[in-house]
Amino acid sequence: MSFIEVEDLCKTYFIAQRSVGVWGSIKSLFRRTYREKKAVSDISFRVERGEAVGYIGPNGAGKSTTIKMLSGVLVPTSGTVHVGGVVPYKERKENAQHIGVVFGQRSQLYWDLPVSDTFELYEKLYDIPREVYMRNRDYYTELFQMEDFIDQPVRQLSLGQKMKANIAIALLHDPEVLYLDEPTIGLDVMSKKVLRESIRRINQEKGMTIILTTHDMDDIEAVCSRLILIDQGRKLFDGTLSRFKEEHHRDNMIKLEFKREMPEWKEQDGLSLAEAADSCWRIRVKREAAPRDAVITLLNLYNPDNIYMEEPKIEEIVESIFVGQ
Amino acid sequence: MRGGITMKKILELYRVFLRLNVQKAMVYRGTYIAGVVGQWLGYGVTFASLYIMLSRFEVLAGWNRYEVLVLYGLSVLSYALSATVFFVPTQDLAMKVRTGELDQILSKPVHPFLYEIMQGFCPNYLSHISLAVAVLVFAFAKLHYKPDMVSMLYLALMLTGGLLIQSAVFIAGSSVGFFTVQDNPVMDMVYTLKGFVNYPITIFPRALQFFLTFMLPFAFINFYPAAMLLQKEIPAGYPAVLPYLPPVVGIFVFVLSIRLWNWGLSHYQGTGS
Repeated sequence: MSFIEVEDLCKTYFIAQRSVGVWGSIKSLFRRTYREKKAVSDISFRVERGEAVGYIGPNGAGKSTTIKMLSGVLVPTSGTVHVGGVVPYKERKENAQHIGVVFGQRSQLYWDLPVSDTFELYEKLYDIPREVYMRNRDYYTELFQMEDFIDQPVRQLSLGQKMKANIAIALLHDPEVLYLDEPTIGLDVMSKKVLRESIRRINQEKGMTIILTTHDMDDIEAVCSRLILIDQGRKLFDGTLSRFKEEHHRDNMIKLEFKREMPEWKEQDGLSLAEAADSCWRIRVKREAAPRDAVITLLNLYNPDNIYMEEPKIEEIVESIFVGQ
Repeated sequence: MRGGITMKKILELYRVFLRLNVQKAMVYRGTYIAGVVGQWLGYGVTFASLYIMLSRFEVLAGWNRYEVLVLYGLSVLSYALSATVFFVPTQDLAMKVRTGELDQILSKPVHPFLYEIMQGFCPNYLSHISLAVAVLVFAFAKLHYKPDMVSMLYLALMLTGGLLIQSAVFIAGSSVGFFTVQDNPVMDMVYTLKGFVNYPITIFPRALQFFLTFMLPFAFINFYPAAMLLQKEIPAGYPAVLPYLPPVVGIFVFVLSIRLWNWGLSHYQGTGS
């Protein structure tokens, strides 16, 4: 049995239809009409212990709803969820002891008090043994580089510092799995970098299972080895990052740089000039053509000063999937 | 249920929350003190206007003005004691649903209502409590009422009952937030009805007396206990046992309101409201 097992999971929201006008709102007091919205539709997947899975899709794809069902916050309309052998919504509190959840858009810190105060609260809330608490507090304070701000009132902290603290708090009780719902939303480049690095280390050093939803594909590339792509509540892809790239990318890109006068472009089979700038070309290599052969051809033909391979970014692949639909 | 925490742990956790809440209030000491003084003035004016109005009538359905003040004092005291614990936890539930705060609370290993109660302790009701105690002491002094051990014990029991009824109103009102996005006018109506028990219910029509006793039992907050203490008439034909019932009624409606809240919660978890 896998650590997380999701089987034919569905979640349908019933949204009360608002009627227009005074008469309409009086009528809706007595008879309401509901519109069904399938947020999650027949999704199945399994996650083994220690995996880091990126759960991605556009807004409203059903990412957060899935996380909420995994954490026992919401009850599925149909289908089953098991996390570590427990049905989360049936044993919500038991499940909560073993998971860490961070909703990126919400802070769980006390605005006017230092982070360290909230730390102590969570020690009691999760009934963490003293030595475990001390060890984790020190470990995560160092990992997230929080030494400088842990004793400052939260209202004085930057968004990035608050996010670090929120994730650290969710980890104090040694959860078996960490759910991160858009942890890098709105953060600056440096904060994102530290966060990704820290999350990756938690996964590798502690062997913690991580499920991460995000809109930033760089998060996925930095942290995850596996990707689940959903749209409109349905699963479109589930597999390793490299398989995703292989299956979905169409063309490789090669960049040539010239420090002298640029040669003239000659048409070649499988190669096309995508972009010509002042001192460089970006060349598209058709999927069928082997990148190795393309490099040799280009070196022989043009003898550039530098040559770069550009791996396709997941961002572009995902974009092309949704554009192509 | 597995994963449940013991009473000892709950109290320990409550102590930490309490400390944080007091610390939080003390960060803005000035604001806190201004708030307490402001509330004192606000309720003081209500009290004064009631007193002035009552001085126009010598007697109201057999109750003199100091006796009516006992009603007012009991009502405010039980309200304030209840609000210290339940006011913040029962406010803005619809907003917490909307912003996802409720989801976050549901991801913690405690019952969400318990969590709210621990998080929402509000030290600001000290103003109401001190005012209500002052009003009661003043009224009893004017009535030359000599409390003995038995009547003090009775009063404490009755206050507990009143506190539970006041709390049930908070909790039941909050449950509505699971179903609607906005505050609903029904609760405004309930609070207006609760205002009636600032006066002896025997001055009202029979139908209203019945309503405040058997439908929304607000008369148990203050009227029946005060009638007992001050030896006043209860509505004609009503069982003489009623003045002893506030704690029973309190427990009944309190449990009912908690059930309503839990039912609302499972509705939310099931349908996402």
